[in-house]
Amino acid sequence: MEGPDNDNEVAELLAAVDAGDERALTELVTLVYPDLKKLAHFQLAGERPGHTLNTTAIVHEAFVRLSGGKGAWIDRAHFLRAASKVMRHLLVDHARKRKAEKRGGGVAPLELDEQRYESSDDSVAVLALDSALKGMAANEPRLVSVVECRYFAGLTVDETAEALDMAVRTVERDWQRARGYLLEAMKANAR
Amino acid sequence: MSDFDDKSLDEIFAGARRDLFRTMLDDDETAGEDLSGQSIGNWRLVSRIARGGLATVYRAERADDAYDQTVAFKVMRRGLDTDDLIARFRAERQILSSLEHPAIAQILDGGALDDGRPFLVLEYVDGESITDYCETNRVDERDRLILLIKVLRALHHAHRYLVVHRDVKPSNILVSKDGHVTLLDFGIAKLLDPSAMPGASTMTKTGVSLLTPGYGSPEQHAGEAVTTASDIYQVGRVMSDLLGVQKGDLGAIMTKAMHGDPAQRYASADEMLADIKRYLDGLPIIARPDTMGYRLGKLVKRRPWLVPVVALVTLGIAVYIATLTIYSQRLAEEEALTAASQQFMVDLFRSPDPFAPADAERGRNITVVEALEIGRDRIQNELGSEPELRAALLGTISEVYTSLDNPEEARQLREEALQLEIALYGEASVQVVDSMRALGGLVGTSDEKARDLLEKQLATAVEIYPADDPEVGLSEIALGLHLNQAGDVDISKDMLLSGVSKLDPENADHARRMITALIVSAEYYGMESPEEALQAVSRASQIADLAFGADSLQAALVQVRLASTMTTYGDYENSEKNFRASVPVLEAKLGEDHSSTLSALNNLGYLYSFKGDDAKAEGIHRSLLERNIAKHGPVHRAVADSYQNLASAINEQGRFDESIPMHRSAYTIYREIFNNQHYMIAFPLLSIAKVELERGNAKAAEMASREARARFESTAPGTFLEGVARCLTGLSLEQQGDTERGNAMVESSHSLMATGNIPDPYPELCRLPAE
Repeated sequence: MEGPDNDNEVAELLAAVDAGDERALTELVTLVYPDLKKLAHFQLAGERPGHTLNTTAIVHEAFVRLSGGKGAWIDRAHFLRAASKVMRHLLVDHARKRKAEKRGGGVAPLELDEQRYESSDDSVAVLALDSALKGMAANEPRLVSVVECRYFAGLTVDETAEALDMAVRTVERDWQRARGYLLEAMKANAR
Repeated sequence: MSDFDDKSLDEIFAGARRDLFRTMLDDDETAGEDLSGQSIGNWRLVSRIARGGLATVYRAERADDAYDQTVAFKVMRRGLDTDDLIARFRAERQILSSLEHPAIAQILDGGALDDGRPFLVLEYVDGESITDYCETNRVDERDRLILLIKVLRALHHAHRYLVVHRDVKPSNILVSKDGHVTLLDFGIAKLLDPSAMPGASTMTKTGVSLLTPGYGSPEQHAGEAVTTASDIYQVGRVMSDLLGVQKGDLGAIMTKAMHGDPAQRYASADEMLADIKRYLDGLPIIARPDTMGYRLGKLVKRRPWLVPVVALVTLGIAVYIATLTIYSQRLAEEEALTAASQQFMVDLFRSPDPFAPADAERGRNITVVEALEIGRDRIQNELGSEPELRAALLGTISEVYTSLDNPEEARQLREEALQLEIALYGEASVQVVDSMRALGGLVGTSDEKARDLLEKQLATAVEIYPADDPEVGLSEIALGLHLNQAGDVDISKDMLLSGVSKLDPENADHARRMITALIVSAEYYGMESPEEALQAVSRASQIADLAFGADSLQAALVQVRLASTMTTYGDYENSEKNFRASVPVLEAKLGEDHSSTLSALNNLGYLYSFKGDDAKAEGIHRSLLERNIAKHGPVHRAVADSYQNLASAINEQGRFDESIPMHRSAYTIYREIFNNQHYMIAFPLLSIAKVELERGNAKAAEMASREARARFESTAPGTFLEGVARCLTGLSLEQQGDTERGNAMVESSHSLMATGNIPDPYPELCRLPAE
């Protein structure tokens, strides 16, 4: 496991990300990327009928590994929050690439592969949601966090509550409101 | 874009995460491996054209330069070669080789790399996804729908062979520049035969993890049983991608296809196809609620000049409405029947009970054939009260047996279906025509019943269809083929060509019949007009290339015919070329023991004999003999033919001690299977007589030729064959010193021999006067 030798360094990094430090986020993404990849590989290779590629598990485990398996002393809520931001960063970046690939026309002439994911509309959706979230950031920062946890990291309502240190019911309410805003914003954008 | 909702956002993000992780792997591993430039088996990999989670695809060419062929070479990615995934990869091969359709990418080869990773060689399709194609070419609505019809036709074909694609989406539907549609990637397709049975729980969820986000049907996402209805759902998605949000009939078609409850969707791809066609023709669609206003609206739209008539003549309206009602009732009945039979088939392959075998091993490896047998029993036992369904199912299973090269089973089932249908629908019905036509082809030419059936089905077809209807054409061809085989070649030829003129070469089923009819009509021309015969077969070959693609199995089969025709008319060089190109395709696609492969090889053997290349001919016939014995057992017409041909090739090389016992074997088998009464029995005797004469065993030659003569006298009297036998007897008498009697017999054989084209060396041997 590569990564900082010092657990405190990780803790600091997470705290910085949590505080909204963009540079720290980039650093964390670089740090966690190799592990995400390895885990994705294990998941994919172990895929069985009826056994979905569990992307949320990958995210979880990557962050546990980040702490060298001694994660107990680091606040789990920190983890999940940071993980959600990392995933947002990665997914938005990925969607941009997909969209560019599409626009560039340099698409492979033949896609025989079953797992290739329809890029056009879905990439657009990810990007649209991201920009809608940016519009909410100033007035509703809490809702933004909820959406990051739920959509980008794929956390459950309970996990989101834990990550954000909120009551489950509050998360549910926020989640409803956030979705209402977002769908409106995205539809407006789409028109 | 505008139809985001909570659920689709959830799906989109789950898919996006999955895609992200898979892309990470792509960048990492596949980037590291590029097999371009390497040769694997018969293939040279040229360049990498696609890569993804499970496999990498290369453009490849034949390494041996036997002929130019560009293919798609799909190899499993390193590190993913777990047993599970390898098994799934193999399943794709099995599924594809069972499907033969112009709009389904064909499998050409398969195997494993040195490190054990499996690969597949597929037809290379040069095209773009259906959505991109429509966008770049600004395809209009009508043509988009026609593309969808082609997709549905391919899917219907797959469904008939119990294969569910499960991953229908734009990037798996390629359209080439000339508008040809190919359905790709049966990577997660499966036979409805659950190969992982028993243990139904694993089966039901298979494939969920590999679904493309946004295209999976609700039941797929729920991990419930996947049926053909899931493919219908996915076509609905593709349709909405192509046409956007629609109101009216198109909207109704999409809504029905994508209904949350699979039972409410179209019962089959064919049914959806028919509804799209109805829409294109301005007819009422079945997806719409059945209201009078709707129907009349349709009527007005389609036949605007009818409006005043409708307004004025109430009686006319009543009649029209009555017709419509009957029509839609029939549709509804058919729909229910199709749905029910499909459900039965699906149940058959899903329900664990009928498979719960004592032997778990057998249960896991249950084959389609075994499943069909079980299905047959269930039809007998469980469907007594539903004769319509029973008849429809018997017909379906009979078709599957026919395609599995098992005509006897097919015949029995079809006979049963026919009896039911006559009772249910009467003799003058679509169903009875269909069944009689199929049965006529299955009962065998020697059976008098065949002619009855085929004449009846044509008469009925003429009665119930318009004169130029393709159905009449199909009926004419069915009877024409029979008449040809029965020897009535004159009527046969006219009937076949009349049938061909009514069919549409772009319809795969029609093309198939047209090809057969043309080939058989070519036989009629015989030696009289080699050019016309070659022309007919060449036209058949063109139709095959057009309808099925030049690399297809069908095209290879017709190429074999072309090669054989060329042999007959002495064009040995082109004949051998065509054989060499087509026989390997048959072996790869049908297997070494398939009757078509065997008959092609047999003809290649003939070619070598004609060319005088006897060693090669011997090799071919020897291999045929082995394959025929393995396939049919020791006593069979094909085995006897092989003995006879092999022995003849050996004769030509002078190894008589080897050949005589083989001629004897042929003789014994013919005698057995023809019940001692057939002119074929005499052929080996002629060969024996000639060989014995050549090596100085005049007595043996006399005996053999006398028996041959007696047999010809009773089974083929007055023919040149009788003359040949008589001549041989004469020659053997001469050789024994009885010159006078011998010479007289030889002389007296000449008048008989004037009746046919006497093959070498008999004209010379029998001192036939030159003309």
